This record gives sequence, structure tokens and C-alpha cells, in this order.
Amino acid sequence: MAAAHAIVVDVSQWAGNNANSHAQIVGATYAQQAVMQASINNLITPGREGYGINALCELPGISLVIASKIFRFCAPQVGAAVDRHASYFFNSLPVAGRGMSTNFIREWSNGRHTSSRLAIYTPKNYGLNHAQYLEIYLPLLANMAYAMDILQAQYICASTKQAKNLTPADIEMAAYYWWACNGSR
Amino acid sequence: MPPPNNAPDLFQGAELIIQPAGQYVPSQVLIQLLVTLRVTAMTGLQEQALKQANR
Repeated sequence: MAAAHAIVVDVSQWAGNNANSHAQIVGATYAQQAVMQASINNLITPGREGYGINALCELPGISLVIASKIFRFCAPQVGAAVDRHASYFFNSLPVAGRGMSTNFIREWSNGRHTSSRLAIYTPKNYGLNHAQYLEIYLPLLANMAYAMDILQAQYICASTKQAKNLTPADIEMAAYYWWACNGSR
Repeated sequence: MPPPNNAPDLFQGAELIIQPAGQYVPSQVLIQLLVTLRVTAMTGLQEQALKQANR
């Protein structure tokens, strides 16, 4: 159970979770740490990922963004995170003749309208984006990774200099970086 | 002003194509974009880490 708590704390730190939320995670009670452990067990069990994501999101300090990043690290071959970067990229990526790839709900994150984010802070928006994440986004990324594997489209790992197949998390990472370089705030 | 949900016409030729069997296949432009971004993402993140380490 301590290991599960440590994983969640590390991901929260790595992801740049806000200070108040991170402090809530660090100070998780025994019962909350038990939920973290059960949730991670669900995240690594095919077909139960949604239960893990939902249970994590009910804990203090853990949003859908942080929960998806925990999923990404605990299940690196199938997990992928969603955040303001990736949601904007895939909301803007066309499917030929069918509109955009995803339809995540986004919102302004400040009153000056200079920064935007994934809308996950009301039950309605959370529900819509949670469904979009599990039912559209994750299958889409898995589908893309599979297609790129078949087409032998690989990338060169900056650390090992070896050619590697892209996982869903690699595709999400590429989308993240595109938004970081080019995206509207 | 509505929130920026997406940016139409952002990617010139980068798109997904649905095959008859329902498979989503990235266009060649999208494949090249993703592969390039994946490489530079790691490089960019490493640069950021180095900058932080050198502060």
C-alpha cells in the first residue's frame, strides 16, 4: 500500500500538480492509500481501467489528468495521459470526412481568457470527458499505435538511439509536445 | 468568447483515415509529424531537465 501511495505521489510531483492538491496526496489517509492500491490494481487489469480511473478521481487532489498520468506509468504499453495539451491536439486532428478525432470539453482556466484547460471540474464535464477518454481517446491511440506498427513507422529513441515502435503513450507524448510548441493557450 | 476546443485546418494533410474494417490509419503526413514530434519531445524534455539541473 505504501508503494501505491509512493507511485501516486511521484506522478503528482512529476506532472506538476498544484501545491494544494499535491499536499492532499502526500497526506493521504490510510483508507485513501488503500483506494490508491485497489485503483492501481484495476488500472493494470484489462477491462477494469475505468474503475481505477474513477476511484482515483474521487480521492482528494487527484483529477482526471493526474489519474490518466498514473495509468500511463502503471500500464506503459496501453496507458496514455490526457491533459490540456493532448485534448487540444486530438480535438483538432481531423478524421477524413468525419470531423475531428475527439470532442473533449475544454474551458478557460482564468477570467482573462489567456489560458485553457480540460474541463473536468463539474460532474457533467467530468462525466463527458471521462467517457471521451475511455471510449474514444484510448481506443483511438491504441488503434493508431497498431497501425503505425504495421506500417513500420518507428521513432529513434533519444536515449538509446534505437528505432522503437510507438505506444499510445508515445503518440500522446508527441501530441503534448506539439501543443507545447504550437498550441493556442 | 468560447473556450478553444480545437483549431480547424491546423494540420496540413495530417489526418486519420478510416479503413473499411474500421481501422484508423494515420496519413503519411501525420505519421511523419508524430515520429518527428516523439523524437523532439524527448530531446526537449531532456533540455528542460538539464536547464533545471544547472540552475
